[in-house]
Amino acid sequence: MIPTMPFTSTRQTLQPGFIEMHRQCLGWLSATALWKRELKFFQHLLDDFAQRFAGVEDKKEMDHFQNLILYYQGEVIDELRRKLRDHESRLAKALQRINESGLDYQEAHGTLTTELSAFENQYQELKNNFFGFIETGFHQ
Amino acid sequence: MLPTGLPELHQQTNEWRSDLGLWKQELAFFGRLIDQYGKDLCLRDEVRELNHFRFLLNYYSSDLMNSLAARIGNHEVHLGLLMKELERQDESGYRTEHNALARQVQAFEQEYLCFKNELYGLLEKALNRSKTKMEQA
Repeated sequence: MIPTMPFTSTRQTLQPGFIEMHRQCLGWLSATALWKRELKFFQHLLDDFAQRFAGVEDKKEMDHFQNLILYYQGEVIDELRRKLRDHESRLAKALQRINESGLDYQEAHGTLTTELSAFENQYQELKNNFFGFIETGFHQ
Repeated sequence: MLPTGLPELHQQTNEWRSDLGLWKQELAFFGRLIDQYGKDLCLRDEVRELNHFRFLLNYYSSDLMNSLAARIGNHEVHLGLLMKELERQDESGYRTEHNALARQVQAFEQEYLCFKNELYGLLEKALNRSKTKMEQA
């Protein structure tokens, strides 16, 4: 949720909104670390199930999951983490020098939150489909 | 029209309900993974760890999830009553209940994160062992 607190240019009034956004940022950083860990495990699982799936359709689906896992783990999440760290360092500078427009920062925070929420939904969809796929392999 | 703040609390409650659904689904999947790979974990410490995970999994998926679902349901009923008789009721009780529930959900989220990290580590040992067996066969 994006904080709705109005921003002004004094350190005292900027802080509560910034603190909430900082907390959200740390939450997202922690979530992205978990996603990376999970994807590493999913890769192991996919490797183990590779021998169980022999059909053409299954192989296609395996390729699909393989591509998504590599893409998310190797590109998307790293890029999101880079953006989060940049966002955090912008916050640190803003708190030191108060030269950041509160509204600009809030807007950037909103954009980043939207991007992360969208990815979170995509990631959840991958997990649901992946779990379903792996479960079909239990019976093969 | 809801007073300021209550729609956000209602939305957060709905998010918890949705999280609960996802956790239940994940826990069921983890249970099947444990059944599938448990046999590849034969060292004493691994078996002990596996039993610990089975215990936690059972506790999370039955007791804890049911208790959280009931609390969330009651919390929504509380909001419904508050909305019906808004002018006569003080919403502070609802807010206190919401904060307590938020703390419980947050605490579980943290615990569940550790649980998953450790479970992945243990299952990876089983997966590596299964891979080695395949390569040797």
